[in-house]
Amino acid sequence: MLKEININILGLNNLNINIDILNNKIKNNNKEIKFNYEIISKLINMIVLWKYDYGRDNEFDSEEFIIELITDNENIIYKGKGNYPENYDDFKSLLGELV
Amino acid sequence: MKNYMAFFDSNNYIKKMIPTIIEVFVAYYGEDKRDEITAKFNNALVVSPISSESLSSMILKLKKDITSQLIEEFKKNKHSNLSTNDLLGNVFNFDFNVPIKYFSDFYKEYVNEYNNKNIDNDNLEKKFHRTIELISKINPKITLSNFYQYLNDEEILNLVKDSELIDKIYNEYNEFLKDYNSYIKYSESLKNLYSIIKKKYRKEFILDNLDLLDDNLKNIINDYLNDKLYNYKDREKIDGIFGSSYGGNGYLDFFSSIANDKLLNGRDFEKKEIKNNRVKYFNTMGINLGSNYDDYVQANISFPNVERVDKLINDKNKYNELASQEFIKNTKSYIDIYKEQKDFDAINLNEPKDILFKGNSSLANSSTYVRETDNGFKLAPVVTIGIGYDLEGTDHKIIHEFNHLYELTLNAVMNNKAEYVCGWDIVEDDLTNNISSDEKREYELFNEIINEKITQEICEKMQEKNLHIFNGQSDFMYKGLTSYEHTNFIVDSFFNKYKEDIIKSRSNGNMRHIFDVVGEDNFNAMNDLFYVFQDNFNGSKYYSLCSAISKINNNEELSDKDKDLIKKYQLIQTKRDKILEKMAEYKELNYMNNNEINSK
Repeated sequence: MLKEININILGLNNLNINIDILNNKIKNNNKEIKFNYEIISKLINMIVLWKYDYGRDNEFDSEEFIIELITDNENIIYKGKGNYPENYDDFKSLLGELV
Repeated sequence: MKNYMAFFDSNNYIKKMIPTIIEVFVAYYGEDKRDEITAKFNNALVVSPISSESLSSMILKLKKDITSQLIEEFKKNKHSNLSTNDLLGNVFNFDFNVPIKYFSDFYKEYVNEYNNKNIDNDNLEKKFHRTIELISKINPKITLSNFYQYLNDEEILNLVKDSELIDKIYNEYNEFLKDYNSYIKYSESLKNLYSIIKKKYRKEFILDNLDLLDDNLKNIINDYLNDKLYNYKDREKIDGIFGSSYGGNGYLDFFSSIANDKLLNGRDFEKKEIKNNRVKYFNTMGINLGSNYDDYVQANISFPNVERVDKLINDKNKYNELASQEFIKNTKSYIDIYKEQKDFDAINLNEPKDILFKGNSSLANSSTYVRETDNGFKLAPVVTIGIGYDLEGTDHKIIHEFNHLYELTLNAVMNNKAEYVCGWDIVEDDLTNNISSDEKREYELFNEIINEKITQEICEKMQEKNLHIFNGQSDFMYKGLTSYEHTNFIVDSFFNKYKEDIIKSRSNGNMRHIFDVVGEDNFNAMNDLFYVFQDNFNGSKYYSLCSAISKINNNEELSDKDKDLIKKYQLIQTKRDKILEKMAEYKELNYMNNNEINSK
């Protein structure tokens, strides 16, 4: 069962979103925000079909993403820096709606 | 108020500010570095993209800022005993009517009709209805028919004065916005354009994949495809199958070859989600055998063809890309930057990256390029400062990237490979194919935090000297903005103790200098701590560590997980302290040896 989702956007920008699925709580950079189950479901649906590692580019300060799905018995990590999944823009747009 | 005009015209503005940026860096690095700084900064292409979404977001912020100022003016000058909140509501901006404005509209109409002895018209009744909530706060007995009895009531007269005040404020609001009208209209036109383009390619995508819908759904979508309807009914079903036009996977995505592969080789949670979505697909298609996926497998139902689904996904990506390209390439930001990049004539500098023009375009980076001249290969760097939602950090971003630019050198070009040194970071580009190496650069993290520490010192200098680029004194932020600062605890003492030597070693590929001061082994040992940090505290684990440290400071009980994190953190601190001791010993020994040599 999914317990927690952590979404980190790193580099020159710094975003940390912690989604506590069990307690219906979301924190955006440690500030609590409204829990939106519909958007969270859409985000999960996108993430589960991603590769685990999109690799890195050679630029300075390109954006890095690290997403963790934490279940009872698994800790699944998806990451990339400068290289992103095909639908990363849509993912970021949905994230924007969440926060 | 923020310098919004600068933000709206960021690509031109930032170029005009390069002399100021030069002054900022000279103030920090010294007059003796002026020529070098000027040459490096004038040699780069500096661009500042802004996406349609960022533009729209900034316009909302501008309106909100103007509104906040005008609310203060209203508060100071209002007459009514009702609160500002009663009179203005939760006003975000004055694009919309507020309660006192509705009263103003009603009152003007009422007086006009009253004088014409014609107060029984529908229009007046509608206007009264919009303001009745405010009026009843003064006196709940007031109605449209008896309003004339209260025309000289003190509180009604106060409302009338506040109506005049709000009318004046709305005029001031519109006057303020006049200077920005061209950007506001442009932003609206972009939203319309986006909507048209998105719909065009959505229709093409659906037409290409109509065979995947049953007859019933085909009929439903027909009127939309023929432009008889703006949108289609049963959106949940159709978007459920295809995915929404605004992002997110559809159920069919979970029958792709990628999904099949994950079903065989993926993680348990991923497998479960794939199965759940497949069940949802079957349910949408009218097949309901319960929630257990295996029942659908065993029932021998026809599954969507994998190749057909892969084609659907390829089509979706293709049409999304076409829509994105068509839209972006019609924005002024893209058109201007594309031309500049083309004219800059650097090897492998192709079209600007899409990501700079999408969503919150708050990205910034420095990119390494070269051009071939009669005198050999020369640096042709590109600095990109995206303007996004976080306007207050813009000057900080600029300084961070320009410091990379200052520290950038072209080491060599050999066998079609260009090697650059930037501070302590070595980057290699293949000039034949523009494909970057995906290996982690050895000193990448160490380099970034030191660049950030220097950046913050330069920002302090800016504040001291009242030098600004986009931000003003009141909206200038430069600390706690980056994730690099999570490793401050590793480098703070090192940076403060060896600052002069650090700065000297980061210029023009002079890394040997810091090795000579602190010892190459010791330097590399400190670099290794960043890998330890990454393994243990990258991403959300850092926040868990912060939470554990906070619990210690508040004398709260620690969980086992907290204790484990603290233990790892303390281990890094201990190693760091030992390395700092060895660095000091090395420097001392070096100093004594040099003195001995000099005295001989």
